[in-house]
Parts: sequence; C-alpha cells; structure tokens
Amino acid sequence: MNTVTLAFPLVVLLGSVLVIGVGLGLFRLLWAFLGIGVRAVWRGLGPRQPGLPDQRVPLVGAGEPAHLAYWWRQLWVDAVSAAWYGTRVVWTVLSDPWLERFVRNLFHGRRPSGVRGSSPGSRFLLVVLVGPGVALGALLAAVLATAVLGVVDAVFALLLGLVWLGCAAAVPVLRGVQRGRLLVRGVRMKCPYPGCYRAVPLAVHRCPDCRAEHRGLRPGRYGVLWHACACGRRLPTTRLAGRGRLASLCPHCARPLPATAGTTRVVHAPLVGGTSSGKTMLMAAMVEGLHAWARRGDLTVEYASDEDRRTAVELGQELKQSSWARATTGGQPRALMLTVTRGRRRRLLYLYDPMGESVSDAERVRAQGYLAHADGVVLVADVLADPKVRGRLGPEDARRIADARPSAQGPWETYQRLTGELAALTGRRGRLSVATVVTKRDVLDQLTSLPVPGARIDGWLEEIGLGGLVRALGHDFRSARYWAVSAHAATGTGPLEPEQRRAAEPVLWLLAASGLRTGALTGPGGTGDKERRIRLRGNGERERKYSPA
Amino acid sequence: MTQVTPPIARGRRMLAGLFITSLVLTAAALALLVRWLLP
Repeated sequence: MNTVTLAFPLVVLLGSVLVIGVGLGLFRLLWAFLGIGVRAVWRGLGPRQPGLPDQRVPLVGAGEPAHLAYWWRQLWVDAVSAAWYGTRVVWTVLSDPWLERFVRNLFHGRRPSGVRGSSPGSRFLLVVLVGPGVALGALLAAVLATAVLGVVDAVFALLLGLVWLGCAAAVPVLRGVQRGRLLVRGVRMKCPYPGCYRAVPLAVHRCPDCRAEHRGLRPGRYGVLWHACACGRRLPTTRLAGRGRLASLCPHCARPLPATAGTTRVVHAPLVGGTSSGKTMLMAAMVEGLHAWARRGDLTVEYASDEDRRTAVELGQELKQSSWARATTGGQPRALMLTVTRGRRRRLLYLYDPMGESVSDAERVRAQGYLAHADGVVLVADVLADPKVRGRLGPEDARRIADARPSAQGPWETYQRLTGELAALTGRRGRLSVATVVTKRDVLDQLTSLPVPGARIDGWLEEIGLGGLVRALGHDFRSARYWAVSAHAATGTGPLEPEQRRAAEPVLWLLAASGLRTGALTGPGGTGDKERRIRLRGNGERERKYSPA
Repeated sequence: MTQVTPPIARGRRMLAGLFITSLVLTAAALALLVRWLLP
C-alpha cells in the first residue's frame, strides 16, 4: 500500500513530463528543427553565384588546365558538406538555445525567457514538470529531425548516385562512339613533321582565349561534353560538339596539326627516288594536277594549312622563275598536306618529298620514319640514270640527256635500297601499292635511241631493259602501276593542263586504294602483272579499289 | 581563396533541384507509410 502511495505521484510526474515532452517534441519542435535543418542544407548547397568565394572549390591541377567536372567530385563534396551542416545546425540549435538557455532557465525556476517564476508553486512546476518535459521534447525532436533529415539525405544520395552513374557511363559510351567512328573511317592520325612522324591518338587542343594546352580534351573526369578551361572557357570534348574547330598540336613535338586532322583518313604517299630524279618537280606537278582536276569539278582540293599553301606557292614561283626546283635538303621532310574530297569522302593526303640521299643507303632509309605509315609509294624513276639505258643511247642522245640533269641513282638501285627497309619499317610491303612514275618524259620523247613511251609504261620499261624492275615491283607490292610524266610541262610558265592531270594520276590511284572514288579519274596507264592478275581473278572489291575505269 | 566558377554554379543549381526532389520524394514516401500504417 505504501509503495502504491509513493509511486502514484511519481507516475503522475513522469506521465506529465512525458506528455509535455512528446507533445512539445512531435507537434512543435520536430517541425521547427526540420525547418531549421532543411534551410541549413539549402544554405550549405550554396553559394550558387559565380565569383563568390568558397574554400570547397578546388584549384586547377597542374596536369590539365581545366576544372574537374562538377559531377566527378564536387557534387559529393557539396552534398556531404551540406548534409553534415544541416544535421550540425539542428544539434547546435538543440544545444543553444534549447538546452543551455531555455531548459537551464526552467530548471532554475525561471521562464525560458529568463524571467523568474511569479510564485514558489509555479517555480516548483517549472523545475519539476516543465523543465524535464521541454528537455525531453527538444531531445526527441532533435533525434527525429536528424532521422528524417537522414532519410532525405539518403534519397538525395540515391539521386546523386544516379546522376554520377549517368555521367560516368556516358564517358565510355562517348569515347567508344568516337573511337568506333575513327576505326570505321580508318582515321589514324600521324604527325607530319620531320623527326616526329609519330601516331597521334589524341591531339593537344589550345584554348582560343588563354592559349592553354589541353592534352586530354575528351569525355572524362574533366567533363562529359565540355571541359571548363582554367580561364572559364567551355571547350567541347567531341567532334560533334565542335572540338575540331580548336587549334590542335602534336602531343609529341607540339607543332600545329591541320584542322582536318583527327576527322579525315590520312593517306601517306612518300615520293622515293635518287637525287635529281625529279621528285620535287613531280610533287609540284602532282599538286598542280590535283588543282587541275578540281578546276574541272571532279575533286575539291584544299591545302591543309597556311604553311602548306605557302610551301606550294613558293615552289610554284621557283619553278616559274627557273624552271627547275632546287635540290631538297635539310634531312627528313615535312609532309605537304592537302585535303582531297570527292563526293562525300575526304582524305588528308601527306606528300613526302625526301632528299635523294635518303635512299642512298639502307641506314638512311631506315631513318625515314614516315615510311612506316606509308599507304603507298610513289617510285620516281629517272630511267636516264640507269646504266643499261644509258648504254643504249647514241652520242646525240647522250648529249641531250646531259641537259636533263640525270640522277646519280637509277630506279633499279633505288628500288633495291628501298625494298628491304620498307618491309622492315612497315611490315606490310605486300599490302602496299606502288605508283611508278617515269619522270622527264619531255626529254625521253626527244631521244631517238629509245622507243617512245606509249600508253603501257610497264611494257616500255621492259623494252628499254628495266623488265627486272617491273617484275620485282609486281612481285613485291600488292599492286603496281606505271606512268610517264613531264613535270617540266606540267609546272612553271605555260603549264599544260592535260599533263598536270596526268601527273596527278599516280596520287589519285593511291587515294583510290584508300577508298576515295578517284579510280575513275586515272587513265589506263601501265598496270603491272600483279594488278592484271587481281583483275583476272575477279576480286570485285580489289577491282573497284585498284583498277581504273 | 577559390571562387565559385560558372560550371560549379550550374552544378549547384542542379544539386539544389535534386535536394528539393529528394524532399518531395521523402515526404511522399512518409505520407504513404503513415497512410499504410494507420487503420
């Protein structure tokens, strides 16, 4: 009985405290704390105005001059800091003013505002009932508000995870699409500059505003569709978004790449021949010839860069002034780059004009790194340099050819120096095409000791004693074709347009081998045995690719 | 001190939108839970 008598007031007291605590906590303080917490998270997600200071924003790293993409890291930093801030504010508010001021005042017999209770009874009630009840309610509200905020944060994290996964998944997809597009189109960019000639899987891109060099401008942690340069400029990461409009550099030698690099399949065509065999003049004639075809509306030809235009113009002026091109010097050549378009297809043509000494011995040939990328070879054959041919000339013709400055190295000798090293460099000589161009045709036409070169140059070469060269080329290369060209007539003052177009035929034939539909533009020419065999076997694809109309 | 860049400002606006979405989703989920628990 005594126990019941004693316990009753205690139960009443505890019940009253509980009612006050739960009532205050659930119906008032929970919502107040939730509001405070949500507002704190909202504030923690800022500042959202550009230019405002924020120590959470990382500095631009030393490697890539771009800001890391927001979704990659900053999204989590902001979300976690905001969520933590929201929770902390709720517990700070619980601590002060609720526990440290309001509850403390109540336990001291004062109202929450600090005013002392008017009577001992009210002070007793404040201390015994209201104080513990408010403390309990505040604590309960803080715990529940934290739990609800935790649930909101979990949903928030789920949404952020979805966003992050979406962006992260878009990176390999976009990269794969770009890579697949390049593979399908056969685009494998190579540096055109001497001493480099290396593969360029991804060019360095320059920011148009601050000139900063971006070495990794592709979808990734710096951005999916755009990278934000350190200067603030948005740089597109895909061709579709306009990355091709940015200036690009070789990542190995930092020299500028043509604007079409990376989107257009490159066809590497080195001109190989001895010193003074007419390589430079032939290249000038080829360029003129491509422009002649363009004037007829069969092609569109553009210089890949201003430097290429300047080089071609200077060469043209030199030929107009002196009718001869100076001997090529200076080690390895820089490719002359032209964009050739026919129909919807486009190729970036790299024409290499190495100095004749480059093929004077095997070691020098090996040093010609660009040969490793060759899609076809233009063998510049000065038949007047061949001892067998010279032996057939009469005294009158011998005097004539002296004016034509014959090469010191005959085509057979050039072929022998080239062939082994080419196989070692490319590992695919059997898949290469060789366009053999007999130069100095204007002189050959005047010789009486030799038959006049006709439509079938391979047959003519056999007639003058170079049948071994024809057979070897037909055997060693995938296909071989022959032309005789007067670069002299195709360049300089008063050039002959038909001769210009003929000079361009070897290049058009090599371009046709890459899939550009220029095969129909090349004349009948002389075809090697191997190409004839390919035709007879009826390999449709090869027929279309390699055989002229 | 580092400053808020335009991409971060854009990202934070998106983040704020996601936070509002998560509030709405949580409220909806709690309301459904209460409705399911109550007789």
